[in-house]
Amino acid sequence: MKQKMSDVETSDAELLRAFSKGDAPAMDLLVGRYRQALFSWLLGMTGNRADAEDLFQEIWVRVIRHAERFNDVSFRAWLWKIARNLLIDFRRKRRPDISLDAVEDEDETPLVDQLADRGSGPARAVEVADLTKRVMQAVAGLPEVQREVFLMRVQADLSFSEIAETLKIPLNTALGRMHDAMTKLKRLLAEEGRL
Amino acid sequence: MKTQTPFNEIGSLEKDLAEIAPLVREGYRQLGGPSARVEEAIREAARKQAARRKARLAWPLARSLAAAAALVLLLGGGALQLHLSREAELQAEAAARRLAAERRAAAGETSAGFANILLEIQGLNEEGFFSHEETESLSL
Repeated sequence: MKQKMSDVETSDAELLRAFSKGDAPAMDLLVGRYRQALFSWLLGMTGNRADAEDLFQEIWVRVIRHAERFNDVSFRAWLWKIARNLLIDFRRKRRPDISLDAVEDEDETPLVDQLADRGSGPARAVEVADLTKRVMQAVAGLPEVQREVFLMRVQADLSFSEIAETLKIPLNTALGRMHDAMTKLKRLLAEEGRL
Repeated sequence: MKTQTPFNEIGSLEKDLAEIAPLVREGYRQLGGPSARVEEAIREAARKQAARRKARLAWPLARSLAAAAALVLLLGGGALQLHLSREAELQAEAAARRLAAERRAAAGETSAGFANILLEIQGLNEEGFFSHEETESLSL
């Protein structure tokens, strides 16, 4: 009897191989593993839910079509290479840059404002929610190149070497961008009395 | 502007990151994931592609079966063709034989009559002579 793929035991590469042989649920597991991380990264990079959703779908359709071509060491790194390439294409077609505070149309609430009033419980929870909101605003305010590296490390959990390879930049450049991003965010947290 | 500073401080970066990263992750987590519509569209695309892959993997078997079936049809068709042409050949031979026999028979009859006429002309038709004589004696 054919054994069902387990989400925990099976590696990304094994899931992709299984999908290449016609096992559709293997792709469901793979999408589930990277669902939140990839979507968060896209939200951070586009600042817009509709665009993030379009890109999310496009990225996975690309993965589905080219699953047989996967021969990288890390699926995660491959996924973010695809994501970044599609994001670049998307931006070429659309506007040059949108920040996290940008509004897609007049009816849409800015992403950061969607976090408001979530910590309406105890004072500590309100404080954390407020801090989260400020940190996210600060992340959104980072220059594109710094935000990209920062979110690849935080959301995609890529190593600095993988980030450098994905962005086709030297490792020290990636580390430099991360350092600059962290300096700005630390300053903000220091002002808040957090660091 | 290119960064000139060499960074050997990955450890220190990671330490600071440990402080900030959970807040950032939590913030984005609260914003939620993609819509059900998008996830369903991805599932559908995966289902279709998986079905295509399965079909492609099954293709060599189907191709072998089709080739075998084609060979059987070809051989069967060839055998039938041979059988039909052989039968037609036999029928044609029989007809030819029949015609030849008829011709031979007709030719035989004609030549026998012609020979009798010649013999009669020459007065050598003994059969005719005797029958005539008999008729003559009877009349006397």
